[in-house]
Amino acid sequence: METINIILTANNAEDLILRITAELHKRGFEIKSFMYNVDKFDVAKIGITAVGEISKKEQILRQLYRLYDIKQADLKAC
Amino acid sequence: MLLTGSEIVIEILAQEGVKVVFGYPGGNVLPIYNSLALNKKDIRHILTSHEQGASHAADGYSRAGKGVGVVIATSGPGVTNIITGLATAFADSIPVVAITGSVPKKNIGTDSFQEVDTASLTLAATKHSFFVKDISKLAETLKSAFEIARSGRPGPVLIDIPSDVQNDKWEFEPSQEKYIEEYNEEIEIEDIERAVELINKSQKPIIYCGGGAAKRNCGEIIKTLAEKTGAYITFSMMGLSAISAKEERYLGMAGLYGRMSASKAMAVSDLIIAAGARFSDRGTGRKEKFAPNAKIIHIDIDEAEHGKVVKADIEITGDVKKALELMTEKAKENKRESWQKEIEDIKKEYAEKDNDPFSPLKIITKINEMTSPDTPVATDVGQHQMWVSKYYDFKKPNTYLTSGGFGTMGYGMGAAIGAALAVNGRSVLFTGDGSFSMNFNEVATAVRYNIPVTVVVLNNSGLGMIRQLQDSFWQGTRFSTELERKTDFAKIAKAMGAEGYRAENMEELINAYSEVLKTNKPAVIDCIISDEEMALPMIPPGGAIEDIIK
Repeated sequence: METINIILTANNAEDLILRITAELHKRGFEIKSFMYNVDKFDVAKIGITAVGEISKKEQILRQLYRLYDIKQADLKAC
Repeated sequence: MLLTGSEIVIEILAQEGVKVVFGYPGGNVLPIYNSLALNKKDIRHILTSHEQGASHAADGYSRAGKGVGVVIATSGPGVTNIITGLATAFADSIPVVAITGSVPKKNIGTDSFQEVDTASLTLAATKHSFFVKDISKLAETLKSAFEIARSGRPGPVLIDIPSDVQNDKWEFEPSQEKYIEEYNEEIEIEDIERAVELINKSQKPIIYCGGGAAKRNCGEIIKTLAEKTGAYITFSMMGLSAISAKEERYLGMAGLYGRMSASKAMAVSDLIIAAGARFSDRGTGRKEKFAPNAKIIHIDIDEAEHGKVVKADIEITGDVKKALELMTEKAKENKRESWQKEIEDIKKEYAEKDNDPFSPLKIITKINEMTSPDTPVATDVGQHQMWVSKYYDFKKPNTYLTSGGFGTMGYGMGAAIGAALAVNGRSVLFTGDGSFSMNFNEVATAVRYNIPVTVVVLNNSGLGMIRQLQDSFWQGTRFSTELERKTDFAKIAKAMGAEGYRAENMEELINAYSEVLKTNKPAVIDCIISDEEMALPMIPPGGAIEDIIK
């Protein structure tokens, strides 16, 4: 188990936080910190630190990117 | 024009081409039911016995080729009752739109009667969901729901509408836009070229097809690619019906309960071209031992499927049909005769025997012979599902409806009703006594609307699949799997207004099904089979081909 940092850009939609946290939980990642910031264009920038299997880091990015309101999903070096 | 929210729902359903909706009324969805009752758009509502049946019927309607299935339910238990149906559709990528009523906005968060947090509950069972609190957003949200449900990798979408929003009024502008099915055919040509290089180098290629290939009607192009390259074809359960089992290069369903010749061929192959398949654990067994010598080309419309279970050598994201067409065009012709010889030997080694005069194989084969190839065939979940997957020859695409991913016992009756309505004709349901006991209440629905569903119960007096696992891995401790019920399904069918038959041998089965085919009535044929029948050979869960149990 290792720590990964994820940066997401998304539409600031209702239930978005619920969806992101549920997706991480479903794929076996434990959230350690969560930051959510919305700009004047209603675009959300989300920073997540999570612990999970490092071999699944690309997979979790793909699963998060698949969520309807997510526009970009990246990993950030720890 | 000024319309209520519930009238807007009807307008959008009509605009989306919806002809049939399945559902069950309740207090918080009554405005929509009132608008359904008064609708002049020829939208037919099918009232099921239970919301779960409605959700499976919407799924079956979609699988049988009618686009997006629609289910309507009320808040609270109405929502919880459709969740199994949504999860079933989600696991198999079936486009369904669920419309649920919610408590009025002023009651939200007060734990009022039949209030439940629909968004949280349905999160893991839907592709997306919406909660519409503002009437001005309703029309646009409904349209988005249909678009999301059918686009890319399809799936269920839920729209939750508070009952006061259903009554609110808003100026609605009808749209003349018609939905045209389009596929994003963009494929990275470099990926195709790399894939073709692997195909040309391969000595033992297998084309492994999943639900994505079946839904995109890839049967012809798969056959052409196989013939040109000397490849053999195997399917996951969801891929069945893409081509006929009689095709020369077809080996059958691979995986734990599939044809062992198909699983063995995959185990010894040196190249697997996976087309619209997601490498489920039932398909692969122990993934470390899955096709250990094979390079893998994985084509899928959903990028997130790449690398989820099996790491492919070449990942192709996009339309599976287009990718197969490009590969077929560019691959070199090669008969691969030594591979052909090896496959013939594998087929001989894993030939299956059947000595029982009233075996599942014989029953399924007989029903198959007597049934039109256009008739949709549904199953429930258990041994009978494996037997149908192995022995029924599906000759037309989208004629096989089964809960492959979620494994929902009780799926079949609703699905068979939906499928019969979709084709405006007959459907057949193969089920077991365990599965049928879960949702036979929907026989009443088939009777009410005179929907010609024929139910063939493979009745082995127990939960055969779980009993088989107890026998194989739990020292034969048969607990809670010997049903020992005295239920007479033929009498139940008659009591509900359907035809009911009991068959204990082939002659009785043929007579009963011949009678059924003379009428257009729903019917149940209870086939009493031996409780010793097993879904064998099998690979144990988490096992590999060398762990086979014969």
